[in-house]
Amino acid sequence: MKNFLTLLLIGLGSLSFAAAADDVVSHKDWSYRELGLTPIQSGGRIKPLDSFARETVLFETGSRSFEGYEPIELMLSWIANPKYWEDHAFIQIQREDVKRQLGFNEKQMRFTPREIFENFPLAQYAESLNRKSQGAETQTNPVGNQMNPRDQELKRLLNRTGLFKSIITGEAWLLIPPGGNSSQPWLSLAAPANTGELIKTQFVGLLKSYLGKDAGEFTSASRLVRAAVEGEIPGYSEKLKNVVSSELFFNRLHPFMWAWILYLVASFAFVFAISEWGGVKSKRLAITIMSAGLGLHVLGFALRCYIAGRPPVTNMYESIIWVSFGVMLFASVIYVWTKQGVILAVSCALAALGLIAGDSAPAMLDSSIQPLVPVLRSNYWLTIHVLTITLGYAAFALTLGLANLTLFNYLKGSATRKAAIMQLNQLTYRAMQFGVVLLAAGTILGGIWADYSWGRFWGWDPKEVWALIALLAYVVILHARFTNWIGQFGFAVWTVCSFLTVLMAWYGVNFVLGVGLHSYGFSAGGRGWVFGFVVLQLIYVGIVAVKEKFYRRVSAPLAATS
Amino acid sequence: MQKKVVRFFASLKLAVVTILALAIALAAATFLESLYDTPTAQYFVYRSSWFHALLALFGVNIFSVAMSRLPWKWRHTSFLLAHLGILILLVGSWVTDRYGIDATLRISEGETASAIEFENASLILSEKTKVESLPVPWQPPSVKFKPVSVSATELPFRLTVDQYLSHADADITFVPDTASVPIAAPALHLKMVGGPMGISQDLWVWAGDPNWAKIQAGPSSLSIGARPAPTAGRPQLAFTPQPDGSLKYWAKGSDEHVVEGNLKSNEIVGKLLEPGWKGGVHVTLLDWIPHAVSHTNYKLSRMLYGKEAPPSAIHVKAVPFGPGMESIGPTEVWLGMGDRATLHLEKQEMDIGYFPRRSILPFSIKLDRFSVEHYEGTVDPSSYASRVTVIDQGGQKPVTISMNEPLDHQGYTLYQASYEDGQPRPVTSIFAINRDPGRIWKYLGSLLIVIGTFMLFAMKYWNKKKAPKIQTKIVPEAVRV
Repeated sequence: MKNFLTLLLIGLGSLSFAAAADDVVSHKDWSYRELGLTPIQSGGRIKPLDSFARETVLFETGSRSFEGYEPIELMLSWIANPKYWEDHAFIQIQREDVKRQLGFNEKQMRFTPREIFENFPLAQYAESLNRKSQGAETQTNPVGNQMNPRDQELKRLLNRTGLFKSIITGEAWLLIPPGGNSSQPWLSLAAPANTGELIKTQFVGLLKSYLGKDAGEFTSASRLVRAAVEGEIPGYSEKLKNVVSSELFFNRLHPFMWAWILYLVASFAFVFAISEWGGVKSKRLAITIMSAGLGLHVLGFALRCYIAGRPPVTNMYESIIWVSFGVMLFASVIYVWTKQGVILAVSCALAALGLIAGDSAPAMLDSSIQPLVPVLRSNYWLTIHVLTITLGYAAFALTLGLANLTLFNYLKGSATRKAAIMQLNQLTYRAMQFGVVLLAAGTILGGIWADYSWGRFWGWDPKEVWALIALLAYVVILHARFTNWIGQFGFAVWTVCSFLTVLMAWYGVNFVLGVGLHSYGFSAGGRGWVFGFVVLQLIYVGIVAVKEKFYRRVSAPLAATS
Repeated sequence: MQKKVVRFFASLKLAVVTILALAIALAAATFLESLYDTPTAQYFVYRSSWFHALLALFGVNIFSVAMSRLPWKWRHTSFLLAHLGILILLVGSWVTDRYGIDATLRISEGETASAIEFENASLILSEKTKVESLPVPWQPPSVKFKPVSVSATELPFRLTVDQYLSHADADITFVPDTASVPIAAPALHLKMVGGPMGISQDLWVWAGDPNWAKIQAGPSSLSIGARPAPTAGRPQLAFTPQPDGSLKYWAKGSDEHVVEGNLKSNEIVGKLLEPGWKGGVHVTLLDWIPHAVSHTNYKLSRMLYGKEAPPSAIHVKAVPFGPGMESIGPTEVWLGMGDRATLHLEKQEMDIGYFPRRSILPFSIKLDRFSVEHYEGTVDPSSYASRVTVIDQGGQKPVTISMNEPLDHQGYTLYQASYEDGQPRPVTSIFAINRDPGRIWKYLGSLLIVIGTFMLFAMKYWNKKKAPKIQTKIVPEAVRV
């Protein structure tokens, strides 16, 4: 560690150290593409430095970008101007009770590293954690003792400060590939002397050029760093190189963001096209916009598959992307079949909402590409069963959107909108048929996978139990509709309510219950949002139901007399 | 009347009520599992008789519905496939539950094993000529235990499991030896008070077992038996029993200052020692047993749920019966999971033990090597695998069992389930052993359900004449605000 620091100081010492505490050099208009393409080892795989910087900045600051810096520049600035950043508030603390506990201002979002380093309660907490981990040496299974959310945030805060420290000392930059054996961990810039000297030297050169004024010089220094790292990776193939550059392309394209913007526009375009003012041309335009969105959506998904080397269906973020795609898929199929543009209006709105949710909560929904736990690796059935079940969820999401629109029509007066309600009802029914077949098939495929990989077709695991509950709920609705127990109104109401079981199977088991074999998908957060959605949805159903029943009771005698 | 009964069982109302009841029960079970743990949810719902009855009712309902459509016509195909599929799936599950095997096998590298363990525990009795096993099903701590007995023993004793603790902590004390067993050894009960933390601690040291002969209390070590070699900088206190019945003590502080002395046998109990440690620690000798044996009691653990909770324990009582036995008192003992005991009954002996239920495979498995691979640059495992040799009459066969790559042999399937962590690397592999005669039924049922459901929805649109009209008229008011 000392080694690199001395090298750094010697390297930077020749410059008039620009980082006088209140001023810092920044070059927000320079290109960081070349540097971003440099491979780094992090989180169990090789990724572009650009991805590492994005994950780091998100973790430290809680948002995707900070003060207009590109993430990679911010990280570079940290190591080039450590004095400046030590007194600059950029480390986030999420929970107010944590801020209170540490004696910080609760209204403030971010804090300086110095404040946090020198915070006495936090140091005490770190000490107690240290003691605890020493005492629990014999404990092999950490699953049983879950930390409470406040402790988790404190621990994350310690990790944030630790990560920042290791970035300014060079320890976090795992840029030096191991010689010969490719399965060994990479070394950091703070590695002992005589390892990766070329990379270290080039990196110091890079920092010098960053503190300089010449953008061209910086780019060529970036190129040297990249070439030095690539040159030392044993067996660095064209294919790996392509994967790394696709990841950078993916990072910079933001395909899902553009997709939701286009979906949102397309949704309004469809509403216009269906209305009395619309026509064939407006419908074509709407379909074009939607197709562009869908194209980007599929491109983003395909890129993620290529980068991760697997279908991205293993965490909440990835499944939201996939389910949004499924919604568009079924809506398109049903549209081709029935030519009802309204289903595309609904599906575009749903897909946009899904992608917005995925995009807007980066701290909660982890969008970084992570390696898989052993049980999920290289398995054909796993992929099939997860994809099938989540496609079923997508079909049910579509029924939710359609049923909500049906309820909206009831709210506006069921007497004048009989044709519209009938039409929506049929569309909902079709989507539900897709959902039931896929959920049944997916749940059973899950059983086959479980049987194949650990010899248990069905083990009453909460995830599979909730998938079954959702299936049972929709089966009841289909039977009740078939025998006319429920009319069109009841069908819409129960369709909306049944989606709550899907929500429980999809989100609740992992985020609320937090038990069972599907523990690799467990996480926390977003409970407030989901709970809020459920409450709003139920209030909406309640209002429509009260209005509908009241309307019927009042209007029935009138209809009889007329 | 008969028709009425059939109509009731075939009614859609019954179906809807049953399905809703199932859904509610399942939802409740997942919350139980989340609040408590998996065995609790299984005890109260998944393995309870009422839940099985509900599933049976569901089966009867579906069967009756299918029968009510007799004589079957072609148009019933999809309906029948879907409903009979569910029925076959239910039957398959029942077969698995009743006749299937679901157990674990644990082997360390170099070992050969064929004994598999089940989740359920049982009390094993071995007498002169026979071995008997009494299953003791798991139950949660909140449920009152109903005693179970075996009376068909060769001796005139009735063996009763009269107490059950779902999660038990061992509470070990020492008592004077009455049967002159060879393991009997000196035991000393003492109390430490003081120290920088002001702690008061109750301790036993016992020379009969190396784990008990030397124990650690905070920074200091206490021992009984031959005086240990002094460790620099560490407080030590050693007791050495003498042949004449007296007890020598030797204490050393972290400053290497030594205090020692000899206590006559009648001076030991109640003696206050000051070993000269930091914080003015003093030690009181509470009890001295020159010939002691250990005695284990179990009490309900404070940790009652989750994976960290300790296993169960039972209390067994042997009560004599029959003529001439009135004068003999009962014999009783606590058994924790894996414990054995010998009951001395009427000059005869009976060995009992409390173990997970076991069974022997018709072949054996030798673990040659267990290996774990990690993701590059991390400690997260990416996969693990066991290289084993399968040994049976046919000879030996080397195989590798890994995650998602099980081994099929003689109708049993072995899966790589997990492993025990170890240093410098794990060497104990845990396999799940399975035999599932219901598998074929479950697969068939599943296939029929999916095909049937698909056909139910798709068939409507096949026949163009009968197909429901697809509305293609645009209804503008659908989206009018």
